[in-house]
Amino acid sequence: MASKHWAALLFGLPLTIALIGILALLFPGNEQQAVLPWLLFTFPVWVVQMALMYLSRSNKRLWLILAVLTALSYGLLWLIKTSIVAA
Amino acid sequence: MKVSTQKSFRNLHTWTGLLTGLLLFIAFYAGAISVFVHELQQWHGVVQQRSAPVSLAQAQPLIDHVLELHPQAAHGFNLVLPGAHGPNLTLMWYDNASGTQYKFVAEDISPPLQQVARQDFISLIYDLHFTAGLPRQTGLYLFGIACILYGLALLSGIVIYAPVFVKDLFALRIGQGAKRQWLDLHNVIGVLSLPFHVIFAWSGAVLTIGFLMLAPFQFLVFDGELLEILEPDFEVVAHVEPSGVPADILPPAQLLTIAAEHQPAMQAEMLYYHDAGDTQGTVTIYGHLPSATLTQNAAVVLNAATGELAGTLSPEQFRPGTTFLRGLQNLHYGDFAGYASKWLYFVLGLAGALLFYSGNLLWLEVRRRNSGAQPAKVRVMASLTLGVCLGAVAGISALFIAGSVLAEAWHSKVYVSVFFAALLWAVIRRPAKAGVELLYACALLTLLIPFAAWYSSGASFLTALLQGTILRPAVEGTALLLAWLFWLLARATKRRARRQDNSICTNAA
Repeated sequence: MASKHWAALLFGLPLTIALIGILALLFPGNEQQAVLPWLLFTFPVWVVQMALMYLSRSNKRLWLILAVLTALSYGLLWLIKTSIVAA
Repeated sequence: MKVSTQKSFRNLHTWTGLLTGLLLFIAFYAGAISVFVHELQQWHGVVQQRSAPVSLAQAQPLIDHVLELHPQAAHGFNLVLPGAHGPNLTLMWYDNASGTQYKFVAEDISPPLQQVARQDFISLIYDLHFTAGLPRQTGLYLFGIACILYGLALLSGIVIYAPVFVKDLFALRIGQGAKRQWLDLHNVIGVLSLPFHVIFAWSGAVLTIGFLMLAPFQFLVFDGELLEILEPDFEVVAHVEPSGVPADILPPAQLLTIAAEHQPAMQAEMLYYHDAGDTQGTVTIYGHLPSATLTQNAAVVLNAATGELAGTLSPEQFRPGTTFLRGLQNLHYGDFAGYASKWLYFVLGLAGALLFYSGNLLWLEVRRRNSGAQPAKVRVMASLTLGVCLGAVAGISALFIAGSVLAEAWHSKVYVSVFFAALLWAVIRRPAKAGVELLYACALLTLLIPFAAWYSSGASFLTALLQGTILRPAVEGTALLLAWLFWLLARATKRRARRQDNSICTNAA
């Protein structure tokens, strides 16, 4: 159980920031108008992500999935940021 | 659903509930009362019999006096008009140097006194709602974290409860043992007011740590440009640097007349002065604007020296994000549908407090033993639950009495003494006894509220009712009703303590 609490504490927020960040940057139209609405979804997304972690039956697999997801999402965020700057 | 998953969520629900239950109890009880903050300000004015009406003509001398005393206040201060915010004309100024908010009330005595703001009983109750009595910033951030855990407690509660949802919803198995009863009560409140709680966990987090949460996005996603992107969502007009050229400010009455030309339907409540006395200085006039949307606030920004229009803001002009943010905030405050929504929020707020109280009692009921000494963790949690929850209730009732009969300087001392006395009592007495006694104390203090108002004003609320005013009967009648409820709870707790049953199946056996 402690392992799940730690996973939620450590990965919950970074994953949420990456996910909301990707959505806010990729959302079509006037980027500036859509930023605040996406940011306001930070809290529910954070809570739901943490709750989902408690569905996992294997702690080892949970940590592995979270580590991969975090690395992937920040990689994608970096890619979007650099390609937007380049465009 | 797998048994192990159910167990995970049960564990999560227990921990998040225990960690936040006490804080959320205070937030909901103080919050339910703060729904009526404006009505209470008017009630206080009636009970204290401050009859001499203030006139807007007193505003400019008040501003001049404060600016002479504290020239640095010109950078920013608020002028709160009499009306929705009570009968006073007040200038509020936050002194950055000392980190203190001061208020200057226009009264018969001149010059007006400089007082520390937010020390009156209504502001104290309002601040308890999001600080629980801790230092403001600490309390605010702590409540932000509590809101996240509260969200997790709600989600895990649903998961635990979902399998028996339809079967158990309206089952109130009275007489089947205390645990079953508290569980049914906890479930029915939790499920029926779930949408309300979801809104509170969300909007509460936005209001407490929303601004703090911009920081990671600012640095990780938007490379330092986030605040610039969001400026139109937060500011009515873009900030203008002061010119350094002095200019006289127009008197408030004139500024209000000009504002009314631009927003005729708006009822002005507050003026915010920025860089007053400079040619670039502005006044933002905030007010209530009846609207079909959730947000019923509007603002007009004028140049303080010339009265020239710098910008207006009404719900129709909001960007999507502003509509969303203001909508969440107003769903939190509950004043979007007049008294219908206010009373609903009051009742749901009290029910929410009972939800957290019953949650803690459930945890205790499962773990307490019928005979002999209780385990230490049960004893500590029982004392904390009773002391903190009932201490806050008793303290808030004592604040109402203090508000009627004592000067403002005494109000916070009264709350702190009553709260800690209750906590101490809960620690040194046996919990079963302390619970009953503290509930009787809550009932007595709440019962005294109308009498304190009677003593202070020289007339009872029944006299006010006969004169056709509803404000005092509504406030003091609610106090009597709550006193009765606390008395009922005390009696039930006493019976429970005498019976000492401990299992779900006492009656079934």
